[in-house]
Amino acid sequence: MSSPIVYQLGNLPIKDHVFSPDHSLLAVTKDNTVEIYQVNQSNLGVKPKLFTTLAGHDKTVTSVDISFDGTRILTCSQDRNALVWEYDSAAGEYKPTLVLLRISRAATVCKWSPDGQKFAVGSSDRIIAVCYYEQENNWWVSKHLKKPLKSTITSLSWHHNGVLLASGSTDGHVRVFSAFIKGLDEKPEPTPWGSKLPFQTLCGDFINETGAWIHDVAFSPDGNSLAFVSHDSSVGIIYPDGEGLPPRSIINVKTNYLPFKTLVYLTNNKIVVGGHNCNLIVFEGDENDWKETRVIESQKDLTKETPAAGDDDEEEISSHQALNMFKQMDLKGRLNKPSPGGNGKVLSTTHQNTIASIREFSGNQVSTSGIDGKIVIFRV
Amino acid sequence: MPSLYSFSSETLAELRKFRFGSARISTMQAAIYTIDTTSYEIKKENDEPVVSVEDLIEELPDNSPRYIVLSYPYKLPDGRLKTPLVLLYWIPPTSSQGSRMLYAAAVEEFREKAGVSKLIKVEDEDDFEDLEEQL
Repeated sequence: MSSPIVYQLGNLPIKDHVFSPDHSLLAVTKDNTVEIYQVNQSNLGVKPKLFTTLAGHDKTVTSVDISFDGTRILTCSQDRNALVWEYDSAAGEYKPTLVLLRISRAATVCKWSPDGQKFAVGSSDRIIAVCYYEQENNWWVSKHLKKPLKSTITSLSWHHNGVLLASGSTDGHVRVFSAFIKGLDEKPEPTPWGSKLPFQTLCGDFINETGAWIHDVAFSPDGNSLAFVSHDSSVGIIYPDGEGLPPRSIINVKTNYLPFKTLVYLTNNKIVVGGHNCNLIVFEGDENDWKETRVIESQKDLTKETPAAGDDDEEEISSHQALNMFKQMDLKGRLNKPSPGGNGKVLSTTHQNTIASIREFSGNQVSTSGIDGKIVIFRV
Repeated sequence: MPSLYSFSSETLAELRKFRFGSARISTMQAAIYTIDTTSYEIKKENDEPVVSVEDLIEELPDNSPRYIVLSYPYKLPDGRLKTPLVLLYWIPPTSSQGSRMLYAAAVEEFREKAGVSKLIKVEDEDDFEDLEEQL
């Protein structure tokens, strides 16, 4: 298996990242801004070059997404706003358009619909704002999905028909809504989630037995199942049967790893998850059963192994590693010295801190971003 | 003070006709008025009269304000038929700030021209349900 491609883009945590559909651009969230890098497509190993910085938000940017045609970038932030950025080639820069979401708390996640005509923003205000561009008024209108949301929305996922929207929330519920906009969407084909779907219809409401926070949800590529990861270190997969009927099956795979924060479907039967364990795990299965099949990187359990001591005193340690060393001493009461000759890493995995977001890069590759400021492309 | 908004004589005649004509009809009638964004002229939007609350909700745009002159006949508890004429000011929260200001400035003038005494502000579809109590 080829080694992962690592881009160390500064040291600030990268909450969310997205590659443009043709992989020419990489957008990463950095505090209050979003940095756009140009990717060297002929040689992915070369570190991408910083192209521009989108500075328009007053508070931390929580999520970034690029529409499927690559022309519009969507960002949302804790300052309760969402901005749609479009490239102005005459000025050579991205121009933002403010979207009035009408929410009174932070926006936590934003996703374009598959056709790029509308987008959904989840917020801590217990509201999902579905926004679309209205031609007559020449501005973005936001419609609210309110009932029966009673808690912060942490994650969103669009069904490929552009009408069904799945949301994960801190009350432990995974809900599927219809975000059908009259006049913009055509009536969708019936799906196992339901057939008649006016705006704000609740097509499904699922909870796992622990009621732990849901960190991420995703529809399968064919739209017939829904997967979620929650803070009780489990992965859940739901197969619906039809409107108003109980689901065909709900499978919950419990693990002993640290909680997962993010997941992505590679095929209808394969999911890759990652999170606080700093590593990627592959799960495979179907509506009868799902199992963990592979761990992408071998991981040493550092609580069991004592680190090698003594002979690396003469090694030069950079200030970043030194800072980490003292932090570890403070935190754990002992030293995890960066391994000699190893590239200053303390953990045995590529990511040195929680994996915050994961996206599909190509058929068998996924890209991840972490709180350690790295973007890594893994081969699965 | 000269007004920004204009009414064509046709519109005024129509309004007058609606006012007197609908009093005799025992079913509800509604006329939707909009402000032209370039000429600032207030004119009627629907060609055929709207005869039910559901049709009215269908006709109204989701994200733009409108004025509705409504004649709503209903029976009082003592049996008398009353047909009040009211002005509904439809103003959804998703409308743009510019159009909200445009319609807000003209609402008083329109109310005068239409000869209506009662004004009801309607912000979304659910407000239509307690329309009868408000009348």
